[in-house]
Amino acid sequence: MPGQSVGTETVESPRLRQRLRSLELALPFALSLPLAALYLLFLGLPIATVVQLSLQGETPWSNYVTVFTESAYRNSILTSLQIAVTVTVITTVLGLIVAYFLAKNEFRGKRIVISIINFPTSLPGILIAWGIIVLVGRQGVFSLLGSAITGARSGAFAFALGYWGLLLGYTYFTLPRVTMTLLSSLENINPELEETAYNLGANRLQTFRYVVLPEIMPGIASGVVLAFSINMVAFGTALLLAAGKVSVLPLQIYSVVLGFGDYNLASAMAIVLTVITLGVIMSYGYVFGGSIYE
Amino acid sequence: MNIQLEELTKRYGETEAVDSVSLTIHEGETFGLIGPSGCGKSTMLRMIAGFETPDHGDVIFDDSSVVDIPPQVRDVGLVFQSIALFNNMSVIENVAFGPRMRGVETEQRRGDAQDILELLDISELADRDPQNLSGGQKQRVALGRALAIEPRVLLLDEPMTGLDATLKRRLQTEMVALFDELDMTAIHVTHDQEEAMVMCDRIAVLNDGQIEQVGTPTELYESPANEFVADFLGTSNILDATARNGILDFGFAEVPFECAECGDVAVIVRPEHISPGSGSLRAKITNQFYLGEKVRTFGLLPDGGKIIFDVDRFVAQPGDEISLSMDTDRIRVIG
Repeated sequence: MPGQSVGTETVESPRLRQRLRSLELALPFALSLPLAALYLLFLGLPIATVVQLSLQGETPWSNYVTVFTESAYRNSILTSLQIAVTVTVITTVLGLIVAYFLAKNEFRGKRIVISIINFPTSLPGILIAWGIIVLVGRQGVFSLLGSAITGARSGAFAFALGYWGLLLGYTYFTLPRVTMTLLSSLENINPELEETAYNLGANRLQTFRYVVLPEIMPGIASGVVLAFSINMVAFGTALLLAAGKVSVLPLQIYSVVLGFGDYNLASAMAIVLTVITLGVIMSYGYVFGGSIYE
Repeated sequence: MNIQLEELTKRYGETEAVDSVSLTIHEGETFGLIGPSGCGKSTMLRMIAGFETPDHGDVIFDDSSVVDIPPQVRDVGLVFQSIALFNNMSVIENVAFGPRMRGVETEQRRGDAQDILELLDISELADRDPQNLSGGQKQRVALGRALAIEPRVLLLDEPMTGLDATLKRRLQTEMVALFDELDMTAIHVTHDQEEAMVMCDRIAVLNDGQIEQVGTPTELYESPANEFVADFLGTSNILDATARNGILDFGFAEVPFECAECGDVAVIVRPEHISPGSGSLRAKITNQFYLGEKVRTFGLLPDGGKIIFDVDRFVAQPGDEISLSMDTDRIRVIG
């Protein structure tokens, strides 16, 4: 109806149209303002409080000095780092093998296999910890089986509670997440890149080394960052499996609060934990120019 | 190098992607494989490169079968549609990748790669990242990378898709000159018939996994073997007629014609071989496109059929009825 639109044009004055246009531009900002405020409040306020708490002491930095000088606290940082790095290495290597196999092969039921691998990501950490106890705890299936076969004393094969149990639990918790990240990255590679490499004379290993690996480097890095940050902050799994034998940083914070009620020291430890995790995430962004969530 | 395809067949499930194709490609020739998408041309190329194994038939380089030779050692140069440059390597590293995988010394392969870049007139790009190159530059780098392994045959899988028309034309001319200079045997897959006609010495027109016709561009255009080829290469009018003694009877018009095989025939007429004038053909103009060097004109024949013809300037308006004549020396009659 061209006639009608001409009619409306004449009714609208240029000034009205101008104002409508500027309103149109401002509206999205105006509408997102309440949510932005809420977001800032929920993100900013707790962090600000924790920072403020951590700075209260004899001197503003005395809590931080305690965190790094007191061997129990320093050790919990080192243990956390050690577990996070170990699990990150294990899950990245295993995840890469599994993801590469899945990306390169088509077979019946592939989607089902992927779903099964992906399934544990929907389980809470505490359930995974329980699973570890059921398998390799004192009364666990494998521990009992091991003792029955070798005749060793009961519990000789149990390792659910403690360092190794923690390592296994974290690996189990992290592996599917890393595998899925790597899989999506491998599936996005242009197959003609690999074919070109073969065509130019590269064997499978050379093609992987010189073409595939550099191409999925951002994916590997985001897997590494993901694995590392999950493991640095994991709490539920740790609470059950550490069983007082291993002290990781989140558990240490928990016990400082519960045991001594020292919110200032706990805050300082929380800030240290945040800085380490955030540092790793941000260095990813710096190196690869993006976010791990892309 | 001569390449011979013998009854080459590839099935995917029930469908025959390539159905018993036999062809010989001569040494030094640029050979085109053209056809609509899904006609099997890329599958044929992949079998020649070694990425697909034929279900039946043979691929023969000179005198020996290569179907059991893996792609790594087939010595076939390949440029894909996606170009597929290695983004983690510089331009010269891309070009030197093949020789590097073949164990050529660093000094030697860098020198060779530099020579190739010079040959392709892109030596100034040697240390650039592939991401920062234009479409035409990427194309040249991919070509250089394929040439660096001194291939016995060069396979091109629609490498010019996505380039603008002017650049395409320039690259086509350059590649023709280059292949002549190197005396390179090349197989060029494309769905762009004009590209094939510009670049190729001979062309095979494929449809549904089978060859419709093999010939030089002139042969295919001037004497298409069937309606498919006539329609796929350029624009054709395909009219039903009865050939009798001395005439072609279209039902609504007759034109003089000496038939070798008389009876019901299909008459293929190119738009440029129909001209307005005093002919017996009458058509009502329906539509016109001004294309610069010609005006493509669409009309309706008395029997309701469509006819397309080219004139060099507007001769009528849509709605007008005009007389047309056809150049009977240039028509093709298929029995």
